[in-house]
Amino acid sequence: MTAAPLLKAEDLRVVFRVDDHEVRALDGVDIDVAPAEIHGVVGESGCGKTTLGRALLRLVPLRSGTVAIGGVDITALRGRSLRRARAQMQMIFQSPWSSLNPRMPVGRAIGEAARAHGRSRGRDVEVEVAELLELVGLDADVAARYPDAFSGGQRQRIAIARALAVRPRFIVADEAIASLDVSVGEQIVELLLELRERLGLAYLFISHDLSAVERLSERVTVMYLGTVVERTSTETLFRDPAHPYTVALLAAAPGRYPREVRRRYVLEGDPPSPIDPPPGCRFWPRCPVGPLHDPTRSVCRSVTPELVDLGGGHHVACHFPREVRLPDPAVR
Amino acid sequence: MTVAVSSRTLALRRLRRNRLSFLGVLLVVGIVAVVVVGPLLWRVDPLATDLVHRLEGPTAAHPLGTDVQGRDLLARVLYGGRVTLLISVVSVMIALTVGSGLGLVSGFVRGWFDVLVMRIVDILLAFPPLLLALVIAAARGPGVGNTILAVSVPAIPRFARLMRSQSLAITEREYVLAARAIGLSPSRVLFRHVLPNGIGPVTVQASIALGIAVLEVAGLGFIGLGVQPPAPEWGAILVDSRTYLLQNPVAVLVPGAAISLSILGFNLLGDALGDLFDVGGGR
Amino acid sequence: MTDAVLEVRDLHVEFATDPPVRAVRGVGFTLAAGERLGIVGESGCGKSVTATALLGLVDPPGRIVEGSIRVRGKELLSAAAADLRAIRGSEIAMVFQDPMSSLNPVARIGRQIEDVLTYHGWQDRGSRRRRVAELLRLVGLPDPDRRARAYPHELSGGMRQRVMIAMALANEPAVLVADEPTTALDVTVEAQILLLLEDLTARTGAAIVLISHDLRVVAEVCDRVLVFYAGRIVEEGSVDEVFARPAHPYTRALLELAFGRDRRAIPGAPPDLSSMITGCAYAPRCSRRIAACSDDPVLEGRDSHRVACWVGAVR
Repeated sequence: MTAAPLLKAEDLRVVFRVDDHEVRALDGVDIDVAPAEIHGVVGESGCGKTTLGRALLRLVPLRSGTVAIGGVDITALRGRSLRRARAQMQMIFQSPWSSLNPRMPVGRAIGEAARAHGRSRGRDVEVEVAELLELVGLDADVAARYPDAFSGGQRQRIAIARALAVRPRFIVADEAIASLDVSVGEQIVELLLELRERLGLAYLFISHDLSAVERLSERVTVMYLGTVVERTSTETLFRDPAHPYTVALLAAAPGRYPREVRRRYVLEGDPPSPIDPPPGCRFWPRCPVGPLHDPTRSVCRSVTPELVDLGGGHHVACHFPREVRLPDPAVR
Repeated sequence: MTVAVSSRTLALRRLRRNRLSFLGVLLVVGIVAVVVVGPLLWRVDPLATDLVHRLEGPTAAHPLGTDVQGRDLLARVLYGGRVTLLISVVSVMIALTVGSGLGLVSGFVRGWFDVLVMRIVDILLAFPPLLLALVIAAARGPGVGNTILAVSVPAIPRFARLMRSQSLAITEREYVLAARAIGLSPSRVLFRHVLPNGIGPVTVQASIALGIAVLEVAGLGFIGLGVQPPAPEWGAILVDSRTYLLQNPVAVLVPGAAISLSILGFNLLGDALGDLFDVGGGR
Repeated sequence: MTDAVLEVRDLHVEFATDPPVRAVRGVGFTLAAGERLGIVGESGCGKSVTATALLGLVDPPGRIVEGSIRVRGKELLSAAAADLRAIRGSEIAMVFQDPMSSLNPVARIGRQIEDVLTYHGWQDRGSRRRRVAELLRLVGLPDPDRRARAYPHELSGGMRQRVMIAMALANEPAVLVADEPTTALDVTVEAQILLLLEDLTARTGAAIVLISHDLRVVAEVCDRVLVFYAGRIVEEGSVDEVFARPAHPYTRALLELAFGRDRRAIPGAPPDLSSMITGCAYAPRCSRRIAACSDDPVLEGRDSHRVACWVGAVR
């Protein structure tokens, strides 16, 4: 990654209050995305990947940290200037059923976005809406219909058109294909790739689906309980994962390895809640090489591992990286 | 077998509900039509006294008879309906606008504003609405303006609560998040995205509140704290005629029935709107 | 097949909506004792409706308009309500996608499992308690006595799904129907539950019908697979044969999407099930469409592999 990052965020912390507890949804996360890069983010529920996407767009309040896009720090912006800065970044949501206002014709929703930053008005907006609908592969004459007239895949296309209407350079795609059927999800993936070609967009592609991330992304960030545990090029991550959690994720993904391998790497327990996370390394209670399996490794319980470079931009946050190794990916 | 039976009972239940809904719509439309059109057809001055024909029973000239000052009761009931219903509608509109406006903003901005508004709402809710209306009317004295105030203020908290919960829930939806991400101004997000999706239950509440308002307006008129004589108003007509129940029972029955049917109609209409809203909003 | 625990013939399910939707259009298959059968397909293909039909649980406006479902020789569709309830749970049981909404939030889980046992004639309280502990241990919940006193919200999603499985197995049914049992779970937890299902069928001898949108999950767990499209079976056979040599263009496309490097989206969308479908339902999206596709294809081939396609014959 030689190019200057398009988006750069450092030490992001987001805390939610639930009843009397503090939930540390993001606990010191750094991330950067280069122009036209697709940066994958994987992790299980509660790892903070959705919060990360929202924090980058400043849709949730930050406890600390900075977000910069195109070299401009937007952390301190408020009101109108924040809204203007957001035009460079957009978001596509998981559920195309709840991301469109059911009481607004889709053309109006897209037009509203096009009009929001004062670039187009009047007749121009209609023309622009038609162009956007065609850009995402829909007929321009569907603009007058309401969302319930569309299938899930079509709605997701509309949501993409709405995001494109403000002419962003960076899009957070939060589980954008998770609620779609595989054949439809693939159509959306192809659309996202095509849009990158044509418009030079960069994506933060958040997903629990490892194979989609593997195919789309140039780099991958693995998250666990509000922290980054590993980040490297997609190729390295899938060939040579260094964090025991990444290894477990890869082994657990259905269809990747034969049964016997999966059986060997299955993790115990569930992902813990981000309320009162364990001290030290957050993964130790489930770690196959952690203190529960080797009592001399008390360091894991007490010292939070830093994200360090193992060389060649392969970052990992583990006291004992590369101890758990996967066999060569199954040859099919 | 069980399938057939249960689907039939279900259909039956829906039909019965539909019939009641239909009755509600019919009652409301009917009563409104009568008080709007009635005075145009029955051109008799409701204020004209005629001491010769006092306390008459129903005759061709006076189908409902006359009151103690010889005024035509039919004209009074027709005009009185206009007064009672108009005051009720205006009061509810005021309560709806103020209440849902506060609730909408409270749920959206949250923070100290929300806390403040909701504490005031809690205090208002601690009093029974009718008691609160009485207190306001007693403190401010009779008259149309004060009646509206007395009826609308106690109705505000329910609208505020309802709209706040709607606003809180809808603000969490992804299309609201998307609207914010696009860079829309807060007022646009609020009025284009949150309000249209949250208004459904508020219309139900408005219909129910209309029923309560009719009762309160008539009630205040009845005890002399509402609209002042000689202006006709259902509650006031009722209290005037009550003394002469034995001479002319129709004079008590008709305004009484008008009040009851209006309340029933608005409540059934509220149920109907509730069903409509559920069906439309369900997925 | 004489040892079939479940026989479904020419099943048709229709939803009396406006317009009516025929969600299942002539589905037939058998399930041998102890067999692990996967049903795959995309949303709206009729797989979940078939699953609920297997327990006689199709609710209005849905209705089974035609067909036969036999569980260990007993016909479900003509059974009286009381017989049907007895068959459910003791002969055939179901695990749903969302364990949170399938459990009663205000009852302790031990109590909920006990209720199932009581219903099926376990009179003695002591033996019920012992059975609950045994079941919880069976599904891999450590410290079963403590777990039995927990409420659903105190358990994680994975644990709740284990409880649902324990409940389904309470009366040792011959068939366990699992409808997307891991879709709501995280990957690492999904792996645990899939292994559990595999182990349980091996240990209890129950046959399993696993419904999933994910071919990779089916490949993991099942011996045999049915591929659904637009309310019909378009391909069936052993997992080994179907996955190695898919005959139907739709199956091929799905496999490519699930496992392939060179994925390509299937153009178009599934047909509208409220309309009459003549000929092959997949033809409009099929790249290998020929003139014959306007006629209804029949499921043909050998026992281990059958396909309903005019182009892709079983090799």
